[in-house]
Amino acid sequence: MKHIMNSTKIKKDFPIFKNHPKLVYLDNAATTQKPKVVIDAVTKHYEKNNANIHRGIYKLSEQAMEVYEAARIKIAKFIGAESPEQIIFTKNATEAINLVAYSYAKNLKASDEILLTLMEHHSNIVPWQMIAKEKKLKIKFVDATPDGELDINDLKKKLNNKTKFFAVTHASNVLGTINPVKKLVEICHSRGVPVLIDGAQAIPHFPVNVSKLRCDFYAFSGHKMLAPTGIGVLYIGKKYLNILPPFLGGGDMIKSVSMHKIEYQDPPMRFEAGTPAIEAAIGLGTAIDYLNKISMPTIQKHEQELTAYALQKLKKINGIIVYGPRNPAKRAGVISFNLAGAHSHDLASLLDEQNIAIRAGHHCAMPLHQFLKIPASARISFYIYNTKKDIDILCATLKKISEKIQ
Amino acid sequence: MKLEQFTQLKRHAEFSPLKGSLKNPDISLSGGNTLCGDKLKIELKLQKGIIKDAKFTHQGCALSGASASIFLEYSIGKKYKNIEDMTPEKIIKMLGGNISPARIPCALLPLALFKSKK
Repeated sequence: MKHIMNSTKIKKDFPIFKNHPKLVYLDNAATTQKPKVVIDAVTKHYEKNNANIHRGIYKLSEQAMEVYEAARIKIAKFIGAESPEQIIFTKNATEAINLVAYSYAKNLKASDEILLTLMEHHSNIVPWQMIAKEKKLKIKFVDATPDGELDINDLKKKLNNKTKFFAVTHASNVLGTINPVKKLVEICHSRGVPVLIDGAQAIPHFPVNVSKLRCDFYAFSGHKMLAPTGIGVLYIGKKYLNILPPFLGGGDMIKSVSMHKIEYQDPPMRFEAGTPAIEAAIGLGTAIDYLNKISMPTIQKHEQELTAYALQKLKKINGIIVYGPRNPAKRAGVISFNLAGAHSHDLASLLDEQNIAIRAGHHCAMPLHQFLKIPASARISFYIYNTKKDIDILCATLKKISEKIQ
Repeated sequence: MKLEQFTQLKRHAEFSPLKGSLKNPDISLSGGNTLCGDKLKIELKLQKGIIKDAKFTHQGCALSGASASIFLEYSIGKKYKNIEDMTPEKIIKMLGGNISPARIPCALLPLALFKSKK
């Protein structure tokens, strides 16, 4: 297991940086770049193994199935799931959350309550709002503290005997806050409330063990961890695995269909209707091999160092306001900020002129921005190929802009 | 967007002589871009179909603020009907060009308000 990470060396594994040598890519919370091995795995599937999986009784289909199911096993091991059957392939984290919202809510009744938090991404708000409207459920939101952490006392206050579900982000895509999800699961389970964790900004960046967390559901996206777009994962805990109703209907998720009767497959197939993004799942398996070679604790340490460095440098620029916890140890590698006198959209355009890619806007977290009382923010987010030099270039440009407008 | 262009747009947005509001405007247009939080209100005084005076209040990016200022400055003395037919290309040219596709909604916010009245 390597403990020292050479990001400059790692960058050479990513063809996009050869094609854009001046690119300072700081938008990993939106999507990550792809190493050659992942690109090659997708190409190899199409060039050597392409066939539909699960039903083919010929070598090519069986080979495709083997690699696809091997990816499932890898993912199970990567996140600490007890068995691969608990790993459901979806399109992305958003679809994974929609699956749970739709399927779990089938057994809920009017006036039942769903508890979310103010720091959620829209993917972990809108599906619940949609199902709440349909089933006349009530949605409540746990507050954040002024320092950008979850208000656990407020969670305890808002949990009541009408609360039927709690959904929470593991790491905020705006504040960078890493929530103490193990503790939150314990609190909710003591009240008989199941928990879904949105791990889109967590799984790619630090070690996560879903069995130790004891969460009921855990969702994440492949494209935020070096894998292709079009693949996501929903982990389902043993308690709900065999009782959760299916979400999408169609081929592959049934044992038998007659004119008047359906018999559903066992998990995971029950939740995987139609032909999946086979090449993307294979790409995700390869991405996990690549991440494991570096090791997740090493990646976590690397991002913590970058975050601490960036926070320290940003603090010195006149007019910069940073949101989220001041303590870098409580944060993932996501920093949202504003520069007084420049709307974040203008800032992003100015940085783009210097080949620096950041995100600006509400980051699909409008309730959080309403809580922060800002219309929008600029956001930087790190990954394995980012270096302190990237932060130096960013801060030098921000300083120049600040000096011109402060 | 270059820094020089930004500082010019910012000056237009913040120090425009057309910032403010009118007493008893003939036309009042307001709206915004929910995706970035831009908010714009335009008030016009007309006389025989010609824009005699215009004022705006704005909250948001320099591009949409500058666009409001430059667009309204251009509009004063012209027929209201003709302003509704203004083209996006002309506005972008008035703003100095070099506006990336993602920023077009900001640049065209004032025009979008005019067209929404149609």
